Amino acid sequence: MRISVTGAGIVSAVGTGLEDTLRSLRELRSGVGAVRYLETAHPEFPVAEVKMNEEELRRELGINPSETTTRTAMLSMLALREALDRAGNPPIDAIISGTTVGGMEKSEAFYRDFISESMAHTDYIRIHDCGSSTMLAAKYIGGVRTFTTLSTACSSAANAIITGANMILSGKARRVAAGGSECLSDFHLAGFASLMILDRERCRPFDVNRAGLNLGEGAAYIIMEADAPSPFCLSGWGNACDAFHQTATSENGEGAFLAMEKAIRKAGLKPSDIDYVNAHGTGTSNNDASESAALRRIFGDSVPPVSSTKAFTGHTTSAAGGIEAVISLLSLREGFIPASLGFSEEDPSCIVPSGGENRPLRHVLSNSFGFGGNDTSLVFSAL
Amino acid sequence: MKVYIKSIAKLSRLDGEPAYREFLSPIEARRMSRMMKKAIVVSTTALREAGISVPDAIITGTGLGSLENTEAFLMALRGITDDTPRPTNFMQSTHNTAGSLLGIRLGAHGYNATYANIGTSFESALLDGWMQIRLGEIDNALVSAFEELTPTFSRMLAKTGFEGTCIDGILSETAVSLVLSSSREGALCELEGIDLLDADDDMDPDGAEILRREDYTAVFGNNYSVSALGLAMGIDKIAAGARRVVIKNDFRGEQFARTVIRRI
Repeated sequence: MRISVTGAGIVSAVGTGLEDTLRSLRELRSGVGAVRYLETAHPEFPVAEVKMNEEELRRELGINPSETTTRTAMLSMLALREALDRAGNPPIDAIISGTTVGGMEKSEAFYRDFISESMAHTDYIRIHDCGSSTMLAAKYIGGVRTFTTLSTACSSAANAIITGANMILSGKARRVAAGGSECLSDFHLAGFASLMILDRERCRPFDVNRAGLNLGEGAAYIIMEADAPSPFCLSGWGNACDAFHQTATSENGEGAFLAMEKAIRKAGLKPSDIDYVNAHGTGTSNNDASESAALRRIFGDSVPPVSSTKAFTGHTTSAAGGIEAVISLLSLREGFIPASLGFSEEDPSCIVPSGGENRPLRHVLSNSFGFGGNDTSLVFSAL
Repeated sequence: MKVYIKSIAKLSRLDGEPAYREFLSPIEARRMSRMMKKAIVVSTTALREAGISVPDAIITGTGLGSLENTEAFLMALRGITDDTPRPTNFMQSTHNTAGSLLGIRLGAHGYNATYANIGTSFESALLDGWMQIRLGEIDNALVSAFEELTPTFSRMLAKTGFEGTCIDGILSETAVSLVLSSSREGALCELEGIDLLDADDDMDPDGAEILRREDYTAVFGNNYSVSALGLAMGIDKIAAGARRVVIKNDFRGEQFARTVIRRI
């Protein structure tokens, strides 16, 4: 059984929709910049915001100002709507989504009300958690029998795609939408700031002078079903645990290595069949070195073109696996490798990233690694 | 391929605080939230009873995640406490904190995932393990449900009218670990299937004993993952002679799930 991909939808700081996103990637337009919408104690860090405020998002989606919803849910709705539209609006059995922030952007704003006797904003307590953003999106789309939510930090959306594939293979669903959504929050930004892994400039994945990541936001989903007449498919997937540290990654990238190895094997491929790797490549010292070590272990001396698209979209954390899955599919469709924006100087401890060129692609590997060593790799193929 | 439940370990409101020192050094215990400590107690017990040292997969469900760490970070961030936001609290605030901690402690490099799906987080994790064993991807899985409660979140839930915050209900916590396996030997029961549903469809198998949500919340109190304790109750019914038990979940009338187990 082949897991066909019949639709895709995306929203991020570089655009709304596939074509807008592709144009930004081709024209080297980054979505990273000074904070414009988020209320934060850390305006010194650049972020990659979706260029719509709450009111504009509500208007775009036709959601009444009095309706209780969150930014994570609305980004999710926007990307799901496009993905379904591109698939021809078929009925879907399940939505599987990844998120970590969930309703935190509202909870942090209303927290003093939450913990006081005041009944103001009480509705938002009910939707503070992760799963509620998926439930709100499922209600918006309508007619969806099942939904579930993965929360494995920065690999959440990639894991949602694996669960979606397993549901199809198990006969639990015929057609699913899988991906993830994450909005920026002060909680998240302050958290990454406290870990001292945010760059004060635009991130520089795999560069010797890289100084951390930029947080981003967005959502992306793919529509999957068995053996559909589509030239694109999810051919392989692998989830492995680094089992090393809560936030750091092991030096030899064990988890990353195992995830890539499993994914390539599952696809029935050899490492040399991979034409392009869309790396996790966050721009932190630790991740890029460890991912490079894992890439060298997999590919030896012939590492295929590797690029990270996080200097475009920022690190969209739980949505990243979805956003980069969709970018990988765009790469396959266009025969285009996105550029390694921001890279200028080689680091001996890292692979040398490349990109920004047209070439025919058949198999693309997409990496998503998360806190807790939750590492996931996906392989997308063009028939 | 059939899927069996090899072992199950639980900590509920009826059990009180366990003797953590049998499972953790005092230094480890000091660094961990209550949920993490309980996670270690139940997972160690379930694995030991199943005779498995490193499971093929670690799959966890938690509706609300690491509340203790999340609240500590948020209160510092909002200036409600005098602390500065601490990186340790942030690191341990993600929902996969417990699942990845188990991975690190067991040196388990296999599949590791965490579901945070409101009231069906546990059934989502159980379904994942069930599907992967049936597909032959794995031979066994450690499936857990962890739900912690803080005084602050209890008060917040009370304002939403969450059942269990009313006079005769009790808000509670859940810590359950079980081992799923493709091997029947020594198993407690067969896990026939799990369905996540958008309504109570009443398509329960004939002749099965039904455990409804109110049947187990009456015993264990109410929380987002209490249905895992409901499954433990169902397994007790099998041990007591029931042929087939259906554990039903109806969370706030918005999420529904059905888990079917059978005597072997």
